[in-house]
Amino acid sequence: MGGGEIDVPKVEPEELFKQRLERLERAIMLKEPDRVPIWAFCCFLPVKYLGTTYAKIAYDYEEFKKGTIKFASDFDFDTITAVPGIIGTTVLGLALIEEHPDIAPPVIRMTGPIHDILQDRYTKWPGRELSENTYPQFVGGRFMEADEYDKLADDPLTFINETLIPRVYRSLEKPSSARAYGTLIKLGTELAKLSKVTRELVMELKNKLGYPIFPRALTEVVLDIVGDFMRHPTYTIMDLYRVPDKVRNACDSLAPLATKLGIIGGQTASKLKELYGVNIVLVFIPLHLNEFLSPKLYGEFYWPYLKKLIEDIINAGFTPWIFFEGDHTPHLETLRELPKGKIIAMFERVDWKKVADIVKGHQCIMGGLPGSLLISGTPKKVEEHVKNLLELMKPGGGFILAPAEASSLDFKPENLRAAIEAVKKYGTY
Amino acid sequence: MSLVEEFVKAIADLREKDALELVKKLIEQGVDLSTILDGIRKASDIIGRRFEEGRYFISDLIMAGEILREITEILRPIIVKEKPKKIGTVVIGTVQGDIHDIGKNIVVAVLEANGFEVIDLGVDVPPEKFVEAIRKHNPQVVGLSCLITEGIESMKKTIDAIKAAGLKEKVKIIIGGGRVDEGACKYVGADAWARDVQTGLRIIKEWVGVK
Ligand code: B12
Repeated sequence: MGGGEIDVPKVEPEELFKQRLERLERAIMLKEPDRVPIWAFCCFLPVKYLGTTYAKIAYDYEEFKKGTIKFASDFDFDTITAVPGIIGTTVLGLALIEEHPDIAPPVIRMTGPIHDILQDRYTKWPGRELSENTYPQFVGGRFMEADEYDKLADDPLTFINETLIPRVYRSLEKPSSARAYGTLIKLGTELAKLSKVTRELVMELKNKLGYPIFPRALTEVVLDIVGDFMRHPTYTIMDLYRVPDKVRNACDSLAPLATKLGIIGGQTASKLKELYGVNIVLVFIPLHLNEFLSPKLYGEFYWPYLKKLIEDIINAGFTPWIFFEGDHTPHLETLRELPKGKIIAMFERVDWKKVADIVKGHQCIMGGLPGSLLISGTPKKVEEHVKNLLELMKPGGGFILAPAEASSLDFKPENLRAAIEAVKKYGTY
Repeated sequence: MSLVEEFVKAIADLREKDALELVKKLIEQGVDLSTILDGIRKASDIIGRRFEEGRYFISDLIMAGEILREITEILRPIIVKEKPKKIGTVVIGTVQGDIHDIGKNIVVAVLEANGFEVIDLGVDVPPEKFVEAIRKHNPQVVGLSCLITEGIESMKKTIDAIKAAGLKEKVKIIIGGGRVDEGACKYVGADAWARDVQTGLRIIKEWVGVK
């Protein structure tokens, strides 16, 4: 973007921080803010726009930091979520959660250098298995057979530590080896680097640009852990038809670990509240198999675990931020079983009218800007879209506009700008 | 109920064991291949309809796809011998940069169940591969699957490459996958788009001239 077009903030960062924070907090608490807040949710940064490559962003934390700052200063968002990698190693977090709760939560993060260290089979990276400018790929796989559910159910930690991890991480293939020991030491060093950069980034966003960032942890619903990291989504689904009882038993014994990962993660993140100048601590829970399941299977294998997870996290004092990936429309009613105003419900390609009917006024709702519109639409179409969406979602507060997908936003800048302008025009209270 | 009807019902109701036993029984009893294939088509129709009516969900489609795949495996020796006439050829793949294939695999299973010859190029397929496959297999239809927004650019590149190779006039192109829409379809220059297998099947059948 040419310098002249940039919305240079006339307001001091400190004042901006206060305004944005209040806007976000009020929306989360189901109140009316001054206007609808905008949350830049990028799984990966828009490399084309930033004039960089995926390889650089994934492997060079400074480049990632610079990119995030540029994106956040070129566009007037209210907060931004960006990570230099992808969710890749949730099982490592689970593996450590009982013995080493203090270091388990950060261990779930995956970046280029961490992939190099762990040599995991879950992911492929630009400049390594992929070309320089390819999006990093979580490919997952089938690392466990259906006849191993009993072992998993009997003793999930032993199964994860002794069977799963050596299968997934080439560097940890042989547990009592110099290679494995060295790997863990290197991983620790790398994670320290990553958390230092993350902290610096948040402080720069706060102090220079007036962006509030909520500290955040992550966990997943058990069926997704099985699907993403153990059995592969396709086989997990087939297992529900073929060996439902075995899957249920495994879910039952894994569930407490998943909850613990979320809560300990929340406690770890809480330590940053003061530094970041915010009061809300998020526990992010992306959902994967939700869309796949019929209401019957959802009610049997998914919702009971998700509901309990959400309730436990709320009771621990944190705000579950649930990403209902895919089309969650068939399961919307269940959200009314949750305590009011305690979660952020982020939707993707849902039926927004039904969301307005069923969820609005009950939980803070987030999403609404499809990536395809930002790529292939026009500023006029984007404005129309935002106007219509806000007509539906704005009244009464409790709505945050966000690009609905964890995409890298290979977008047209003028379209994103049009979305932000539209929120300013139609989103005030 | 005849054995074939029982077979159709077992597939449609996703009773895997029953369906596999029944297909073996049908073969044993010497029921001809075209009758069995017709039954599979019927079952796949019922499944598609149930999906459209909101009675079946993606999990059911995955299980259905698996059952259809297993049945095709059992029938393969007979299919190889008798070479039943295909109603058309489709080249399909997940575009470059994208590795999602659950939806694409369902589409492949359903197309095969409906008598199509399907050339499945897999995932993360570069444009050249599509071009090469079109030259080699002469399909009437090319299907591009994509689930990440990034993939929209990839689909555009793929279709541009097909055009540049002078092959666009020979094929109809349909794009599919969770994030495609009318806008994406226009943008990439495809002939049609579908966000579910049933719509896709209907369009493809229309293109090759079957009802
Ligand atoms: C399962 C899943 C995975 C699995 C994939 C396993 C596999 N082998 O396919 C795993 C865990 C490996 C995975 C990885 C990733 N994923 Co993923 N994944 C999903 C998830 C949860 C479901 C997708 C799915 O299979 N749906 C079910 C199938 C049946 O639906 P479908 O594909 O749409 O297919 C139907 C129709 O569309 C149609 N159809 C499909 N193809 C075609 C083709 C033709 C020709 C026709 C006619 C019809 C048709 O028929 C099907 C049946 O009706 C979605 C979220 C969601 N619910 O959509 C995210 C999602 C697609 N993933 C996403 C992302 C970002 C990723 C990763 C990039 C994450 C990462 N950073 O590593 C990686 C992929 C790396 C890459 N470059 O590709 C994002 C994409 C965001 C975006 N807009 O860009 C999504 C939307 C999640 C999200 N909201 O953030 N993922």
